[in-house]
Amino acid sequence: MAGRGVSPIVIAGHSHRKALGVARGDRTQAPDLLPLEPADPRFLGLSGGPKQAVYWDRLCALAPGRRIALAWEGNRYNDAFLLQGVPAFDLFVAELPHLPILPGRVLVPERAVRERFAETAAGLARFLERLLTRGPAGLVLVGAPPPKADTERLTALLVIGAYDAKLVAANGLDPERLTLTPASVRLKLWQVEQTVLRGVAERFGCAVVPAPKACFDTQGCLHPDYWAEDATHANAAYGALMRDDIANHFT
Amino acid sequence: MNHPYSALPDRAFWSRAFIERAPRDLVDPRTGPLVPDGAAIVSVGSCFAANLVPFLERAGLRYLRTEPLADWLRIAPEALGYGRYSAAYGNVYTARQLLQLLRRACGTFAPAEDRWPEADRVIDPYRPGLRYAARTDTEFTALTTQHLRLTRDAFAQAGVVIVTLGLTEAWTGLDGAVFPACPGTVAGRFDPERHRFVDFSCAEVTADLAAFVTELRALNPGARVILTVSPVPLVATAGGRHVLEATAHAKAVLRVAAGEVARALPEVIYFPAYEIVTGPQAPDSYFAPDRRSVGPEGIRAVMRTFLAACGRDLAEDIDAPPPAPMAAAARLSHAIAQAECEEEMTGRPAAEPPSPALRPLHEMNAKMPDTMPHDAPDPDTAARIAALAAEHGPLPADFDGTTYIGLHPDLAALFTKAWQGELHYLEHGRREGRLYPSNVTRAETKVAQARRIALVLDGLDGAGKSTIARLVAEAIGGCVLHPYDGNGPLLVWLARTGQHALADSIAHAAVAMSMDRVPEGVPIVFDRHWFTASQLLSSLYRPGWEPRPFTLLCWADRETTVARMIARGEDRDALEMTQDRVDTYRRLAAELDVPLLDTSCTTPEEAAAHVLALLTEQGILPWRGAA
Repeated sequence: MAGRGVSPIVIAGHSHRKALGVARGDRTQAPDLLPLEPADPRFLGLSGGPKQAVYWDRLCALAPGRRIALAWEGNRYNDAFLLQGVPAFDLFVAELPHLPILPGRVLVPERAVRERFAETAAGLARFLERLLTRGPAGLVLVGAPPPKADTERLTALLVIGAYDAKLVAANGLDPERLTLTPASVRLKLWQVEQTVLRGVAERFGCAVVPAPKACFDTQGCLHPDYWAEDATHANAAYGALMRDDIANHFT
Repeated sequence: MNHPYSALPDRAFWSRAFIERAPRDLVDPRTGPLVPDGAAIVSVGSCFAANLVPFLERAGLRYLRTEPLADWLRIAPEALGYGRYSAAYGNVYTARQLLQLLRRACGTFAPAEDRWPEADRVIDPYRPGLRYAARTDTEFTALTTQHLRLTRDAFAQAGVVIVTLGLTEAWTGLDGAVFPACPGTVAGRFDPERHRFVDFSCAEVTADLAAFVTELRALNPGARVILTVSPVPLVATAGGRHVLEATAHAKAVLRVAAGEVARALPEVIYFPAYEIVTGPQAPDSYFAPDRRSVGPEGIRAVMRTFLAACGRDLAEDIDAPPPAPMAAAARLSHAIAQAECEEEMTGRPAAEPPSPALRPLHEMNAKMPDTMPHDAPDPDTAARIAALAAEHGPLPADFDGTTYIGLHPDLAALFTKAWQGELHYLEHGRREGRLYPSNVTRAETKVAQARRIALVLDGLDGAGKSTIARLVAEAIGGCVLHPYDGNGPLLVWLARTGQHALADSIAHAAVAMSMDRVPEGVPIVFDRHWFTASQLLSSLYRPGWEPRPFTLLCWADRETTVARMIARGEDRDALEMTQDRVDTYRRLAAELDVPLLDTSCTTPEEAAAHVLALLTEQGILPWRGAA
């Protein structure tokens, strides 16, 4: 293995890692360090399925002496709130004081929404505690990309995606009546999730590399140039910006 | 002789007013149903008012909730009963506090001391125990405005308002605004310059109650008001009297005031909950052993009478209703996010058909609890868990409450939260010797196992490993384990039929089970271990065996191997020992960086001596034990 500070930074974690170039790898093989796609000699990616315990075991085994950039979930806000439920709600977020409250909505305390992300926070805390015992040379938490604002394009992506009318029907819903949660609300929810994860990371002395400033549009959402062709992820251009920020952090 | 008592019903005479100590016709039958059919009920008052709610709902009465939160956000409910009432006003103990709540809701009263800012939150003095307190002034103002609007909605839409009066003592601000708890107890800071103690007189309580009813009728002319007095004694008094005397005084004042208002105003009914629980006819068991809390039997006696007066029966089962299913939009949001994450990981084009992993609704609902947040116990329960751990020892380091519940069907029928599993184990499970699935990861287990293993010998049958293993173990005072004896054919069959995950689990379990029998500190020599599993199963499972113990592959050329097998009488197996099979073992050893111990031309004693030298060279000998 190359000496400290010379070996490539390992990118690992959940699905947002793909924008950063982590290869899928051969799922019949154990998780392994592979070059990024496209290759970036500053980094290696840990392939494999993050739903399997062996993936995280492998990351821990690889950790001693390595620099690690960890993409931890970051999509829980979409998982719970991508589509607008009943009652429609809004919230104040201390970090985004300029965002208005939409009329006619139930207001929920930000602290209650934080509680909604307690599970992902607890999972991160458990894993960081374990990972840090393995003596990585450096560790950063990679921020998740902000939500996508363009409702029309987003709706189109939902329609053509794997989650089309069949999925809607399987869940007993009327596809004609699906409504996206407004972008301003999703932006607040994203901010809360990121704040929660940042709080956990900082508790363990782990720095956070947030979504690059250049990727935001004027509303604070993900600029369309950085959209992957789905509802929740960013693309390789975003990943390139993020990789630079990660590399800068370590240098 | 006729006199005024002659025509009175039995309920007017002590000797005839009870059936087996239960009051008969306690509510005047001429009143009609206490709660008219279809009427929405709002309850407000001391904690006793919250205890009524599940009984009302189970009896089919309509309890109005205008300010729900946790049931659709799917988080832990608010603390201190804020989520148990029609709106999140929490406990309301005095008539003055009740009147001010209504006035604040209607915008006719605004307390001067309306918030207590702290470093990371803004406390509501009138709801000081809120778990989800505001973070900023702006958020506080908005949340409080919404809360008061929804409180007003509750009062405005109520068909029946049940008021339970609890106290006459209170603490107020300089403008007379009544706090539900003395500042500094639940939250905030007590300031003798700003905070005053008051013990409301009977006249004041009566006036406040009457004003409440009058102003409620201005908002909602049709609302019926049912007044009750909580039988729960004061937790403490600041008035200088003994708490028993203060309790008797307060309850007498409240009882008289309620009676006065019920007599004076139309559609105000007094319901004698206090008398049911505290009257001479009441059994001791109506109070809990602390003689302050009303026990389940007492509450059921009250509710049986109340519901009978509504023309309804008391439901036998008042367990908490199951949690609300996840809302449709949330279900689909979850499905989409999961599908996209899967897709990101698999690189599958977005336009492909839905993943088979996306389950039908009923299956998704069954899965959802796995992704729900860990529900924390209330402070009392958390304190109970801590006390049990302090008294009887902490939970095992590898204990996980959720998997513990899942292992025991009787617990799974009752509990869902990890903390419930923890509490049960501390209270009962440990004493009962209940098993719990360890949450130690495979990697952690393997690290612990590796410390106890001096050597692993692997190789084909006839390679000489068993004899060498025995000789080495004898030399180091160790123990030889054969984890796959008896399991070998099963593992081979599972591997051949593609059931590799199951085979891998069985192989790990066989190793663990065999090690269980060996005392700590005794060096272990394995006759077959990870290498055997690795040559049978997909390479996907190899990382699960890390860290590997020091391993040697015993190998002999085909002729020697076959000769040894025939000498053992294993002629049939010997015929299957092809050159390719012998070579495969050797190739895999090279691929997996496992040193070869060629036994073709050595005696077992010579080979054992060589192994012992290698163990010394590796620093494994002299054996220093599991540490």
